[in-house]
Amino acid sequence: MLPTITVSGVRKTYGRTVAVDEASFEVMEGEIFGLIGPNGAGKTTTMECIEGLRKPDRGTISVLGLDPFRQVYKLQNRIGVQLQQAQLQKRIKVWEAVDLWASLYQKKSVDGTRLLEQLGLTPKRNAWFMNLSGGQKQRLFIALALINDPELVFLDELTTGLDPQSRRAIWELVRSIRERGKTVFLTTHLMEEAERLCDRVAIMEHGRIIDIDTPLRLVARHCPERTVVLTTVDAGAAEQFNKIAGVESVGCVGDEFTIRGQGDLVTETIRCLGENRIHVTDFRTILPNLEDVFLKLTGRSIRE
Amino acid sequence: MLRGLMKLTWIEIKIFLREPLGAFGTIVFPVLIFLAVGKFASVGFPASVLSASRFTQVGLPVMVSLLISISAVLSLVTIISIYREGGILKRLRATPLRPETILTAHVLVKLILTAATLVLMILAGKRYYPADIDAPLFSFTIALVISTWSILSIGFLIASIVPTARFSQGCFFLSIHCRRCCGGLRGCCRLPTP
Repeated sequence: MLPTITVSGVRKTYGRTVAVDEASFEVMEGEIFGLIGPNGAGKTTTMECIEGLRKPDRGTISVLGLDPFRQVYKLQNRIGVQLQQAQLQKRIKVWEAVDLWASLYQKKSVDGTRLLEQLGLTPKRNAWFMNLSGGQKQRLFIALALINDPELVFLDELTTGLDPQSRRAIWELVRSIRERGKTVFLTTHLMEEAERLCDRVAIMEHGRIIDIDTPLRLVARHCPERTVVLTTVDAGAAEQFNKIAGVESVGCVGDEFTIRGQGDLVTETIRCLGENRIHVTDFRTILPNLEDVFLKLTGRSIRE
Repeated sequence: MLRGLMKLTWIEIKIFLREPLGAFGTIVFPVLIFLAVGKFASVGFPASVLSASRFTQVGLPVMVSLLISISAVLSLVTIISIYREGGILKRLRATPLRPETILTAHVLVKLILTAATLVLMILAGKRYYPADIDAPLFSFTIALVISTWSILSIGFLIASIVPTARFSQGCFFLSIHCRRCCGGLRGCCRLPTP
């Protein structure tokens, strides 16, 4: 796979505030790459530098082999952009916006009517932008980002403020973009979104990239701990649980046991239960996620 | 890019006309002012009195033309500020559309609307204040369009530096009244004394 985006040593400041500090990473062709971090981490500034909307103070960026600042118009013909908190004219109709956007690109655009149909906006094609719901607006912005059949799509905080149903529908859309061979670069502060959508993520805080990898590998690398919580009335259970390979601690509150450890703790616990014929009335596992990785790497929650 | 310019201009005209108050203020209101002030100025004058007819034939059209021009620029300043505040300009910037195309489209919209209002005013003048003078309609229209164009540049300047639409309107009014006084435009708008 070839890199679609190469960012090397990019720094961007606003007055004394350092928004992006020596960011370096690559985005490969055909992948969904996520830039994750809390609000104000520098995700949007990084994305806007890559899109050619902001000029970095130093560092180099290459997107589809082009310099996004010097060759911005060439680049914009080949990319699709959905901006955070963007608006359209209040009284522009949905079909007018799609028609206008289609006229702005040199290359032949995709069929706007079909695109609206795919995004479930056909019933709203004559509605004014101001009368659309949050989810419908986001879908329209996705339509505008896809109207020129781009090779690379940028999605900035795509599902922020949407209800869970709309969020899941948009995740499906993003996956379908990747299935068509496009590269997707997205930013989000929603860890669930990053875990479900992204092939690889870069964790960003205070303008710095802290780590980059697949969500699974990041979790395995930084948070190898596993937790099993089960309920049993068996009197000798605690003794058996302490013998499980990889166990670090066994806690007990009433009939509920919390077993913490590393490695293949879940399988080993199930094996222990079977071998010792321990009857359980409840069994669940607590696996770390990107939120825990972020907490471990930065010492604070992403929501703080 | 010509296709984009034409499409954006046409859509902006449609959007403008969908704002009832804005469309009324820019297109209809100057014509109503023209008719109402004309009627008021003619009270107590026989139709043949020179001063009254001079006012309706010369002073009033100039005053209303100024109003048309101000309305056009004011709405432009407001629209550009709102577009900038709301991120619409930024969204357009993320397309291959060049900034000069966006500005040209808005200038075209305002010039077209200015011309439309002027035509309405001329038709109203012909209907209600039949004049026997040879009015240089063509050159007057060209002069008005060019002066509107010139004032638009000041509007763009204000819209590009002030933070909000409301503030931009205040700045624009301040600048237009300063220029009106400095330019000696009060004289031509003075009502005649019976």
